[in-house]
Amino acid sequence: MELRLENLTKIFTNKTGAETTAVSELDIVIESGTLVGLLGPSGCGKSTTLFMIAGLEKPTGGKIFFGDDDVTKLAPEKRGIGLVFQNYALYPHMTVYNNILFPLENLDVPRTEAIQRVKEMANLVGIGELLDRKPSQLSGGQQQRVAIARALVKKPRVLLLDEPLSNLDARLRLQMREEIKRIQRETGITTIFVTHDQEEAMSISDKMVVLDFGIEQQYASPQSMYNNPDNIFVAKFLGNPPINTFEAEVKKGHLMINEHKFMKFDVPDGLYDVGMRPENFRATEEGFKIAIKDIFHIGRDTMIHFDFNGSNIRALVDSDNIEKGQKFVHLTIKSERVYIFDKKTGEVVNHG
Amino acid sequence: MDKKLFKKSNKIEKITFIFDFIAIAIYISLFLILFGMLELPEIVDGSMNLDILQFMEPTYYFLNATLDKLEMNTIISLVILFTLVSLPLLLINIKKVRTRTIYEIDSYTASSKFVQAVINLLSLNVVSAGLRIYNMFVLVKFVKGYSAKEFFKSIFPAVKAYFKKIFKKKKVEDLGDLDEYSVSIKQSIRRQNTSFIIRILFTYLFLITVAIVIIVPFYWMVLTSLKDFSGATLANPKLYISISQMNWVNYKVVLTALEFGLYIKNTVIVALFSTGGTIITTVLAAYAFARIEFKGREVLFSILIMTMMIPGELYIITNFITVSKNGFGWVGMATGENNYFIAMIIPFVTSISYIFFLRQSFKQIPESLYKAARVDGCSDFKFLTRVMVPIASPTIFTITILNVFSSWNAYIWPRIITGVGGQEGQKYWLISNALRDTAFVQDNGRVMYNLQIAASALVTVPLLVVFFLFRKYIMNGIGRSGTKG
Repeated sequence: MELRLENLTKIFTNKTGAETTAVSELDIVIESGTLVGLLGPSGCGKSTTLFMIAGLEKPTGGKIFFGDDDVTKLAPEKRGIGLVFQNYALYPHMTVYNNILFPLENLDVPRTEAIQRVKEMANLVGIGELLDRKPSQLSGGQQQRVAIARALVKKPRVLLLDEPLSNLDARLRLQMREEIKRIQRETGITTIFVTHDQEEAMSISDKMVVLDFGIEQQYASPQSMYNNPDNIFVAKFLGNPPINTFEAEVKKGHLMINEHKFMKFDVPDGLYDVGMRPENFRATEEGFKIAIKDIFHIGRDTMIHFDFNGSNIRALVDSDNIEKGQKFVHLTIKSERVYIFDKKTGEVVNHG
Repeated sequence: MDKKLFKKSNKIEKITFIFDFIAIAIYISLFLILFGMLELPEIVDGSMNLDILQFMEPTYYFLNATLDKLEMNTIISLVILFTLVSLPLLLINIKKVRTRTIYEIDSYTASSKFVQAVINLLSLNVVSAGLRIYNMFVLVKFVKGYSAKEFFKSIFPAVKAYFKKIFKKKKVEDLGDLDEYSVSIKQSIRRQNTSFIIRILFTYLFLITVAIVIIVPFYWMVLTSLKDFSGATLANPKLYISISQMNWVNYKVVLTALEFGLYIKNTVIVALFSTGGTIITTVLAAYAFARIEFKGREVLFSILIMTMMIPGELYIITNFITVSKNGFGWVGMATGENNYFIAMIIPFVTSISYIFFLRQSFKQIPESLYKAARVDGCSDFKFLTRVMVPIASPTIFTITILNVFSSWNAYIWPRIITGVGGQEGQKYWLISNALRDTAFVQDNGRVMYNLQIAASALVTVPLLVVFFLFRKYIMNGIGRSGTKG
């Protein structure tokens, strides 16, 4: 089922009357059966957006459509959503079985069918043997699975996940990431996944939304967002190690770095912010000669530090091309991997 | 590790419980029968002459035997003693069987079974004793692998070896070979051990002293309540009495002739209803203040909290006007039109401090549970009953117990209410009023101290039992309410 947000806005007013805009005029269409990652730094309004979709928060303005139905004013239980919380929110005094059964009790599903659905769902998420345990007797990953099973057992139209992996350790996080992807594929349910971890979002999502201060920055598939960021915020937010940014001037169509002509660009002359990802540099025989400040060999790759217009720049190059004690190196970079951003608006000017 | 033997042992234990239970039922019914047979002085002119109680020499006929007063006292004392020993034994064993795992069984478990069998034998419960001995052999086989025959054979050599070890002279350690460092370490270890033993010794000495200070008044109460009048008023009172001297008839006098049975019934009724009402109102109010958002919630809550600063005694006059003729008219009306119970219960069916107490524990339940329940289509009331109350059940249990305590001990309000209407009000006395106002004084000016003490023992003992059973929850409640000042 398609999910559509139209001009969705949420403004919190505190006691003194000061207003905080958590979400500002969000316009997104989420296609049926896709997994969309809602990504942004903490406090950017991603959880608020999720709770508005769930119906737990009332939007200040705008509309939410599930398919063709306007659900903006519908109570949460009537929307047909499954919600998984950051801390799982399992009922601590109930067994796993009762936890998963609880939503069905409220829907007045016949007993035999309910039991069958609980068992089916428990097997789908892989906790079939743990049904008579209490949540406190489960590991974090198992609790997570129970929470997902509880959200899915109602056969919801939309599954909402609120930072579901942030309470798990690194290895389990990787495993659960794949697990969630698998469950989503098997059930084919439209899913929204909130996270602040860009790597997590990129690996799991079909499409991603990046938010900053409640404003949508870009809505695209992970790879195209990585390769073609719309603005400097998205470029900086994605990627590890982060993108290098520095100020540079374009003179007569040439990007000037360290008072040399670096590359030709079809942009108006002026001062710009320039971004280059560390892994896009290549060490070659010819190319731009730079003086190495520092070298870190980290196995397969080597990290080189050098200066561009006074800013420290990192480049990740193949270890084979760099020798120990090397003072200078020639680097090249493809012109479509150089991002030139407008100084005022932060919009990219040489792409799209 | 033979699982079969472990299961067998548990099975035997469960069968033993049945016989234990039967024995306890027999003790209790025996006690009730004998207690019912106890003879009281005759009622003359509507009142009982309690002075002759200790000089009466009744004879009782029970199961074709003739029993005099002393024999009767002995039998009742023994039956009570047996119950007091068997009941905790049964409860502890039930708890143990339910919780113990196969790894916790050792030879001490087997030997404790032996001790329990001896106790059973002393309390004339031969079947349980036999079963426990059998269970001991099963456990010995489980732990050591001995059969019963081998076990008996192994006792004598083991005892012999033990005594040999005790009487063997300790070898004097030769420190000459060791270097200075090892000697100093040896000395410091010895010093440490000595100080540890001294510390333990003083700690327990202190604890025992304090325990005696606390226990002696209770012991004295029970002791005096069982003495006859002249025994209780001796200038040099005895510190103990033999079981044939225990006058259980004192309790019968208090319960029937002095009508403490009625007063206890009144108290139980008031305690049950006011506690039930308090729990219902407290849970609902605490939930509203903790979870439901409505206008003026904080203001209303702070007004309620403010009322906690006004001492309860100040409400008495206004409350009295409310329940009396000028208000609802529950008391102070013509004879037969008064509702003493309602007047005693209704003003106490809610408690601000418990609402505050429960609201705090409701607040600790994460908000996300509420959100999850909302998404799952759970109504507020269902969320309260299915999620909040079970999670906060320890707190609610604590509130229940504390409230039962306070209504059991309530004095001023019941005294005022039952003071209205003379003779009619007297029928609605609660135990605390009765303890204060019952005439333990005889016509000749004697105060029947032994009966008065028996009455107070009757009032105190149920509370003590409740305290020992639920002390964890009570301490929990007092500890937390301590933080609010």
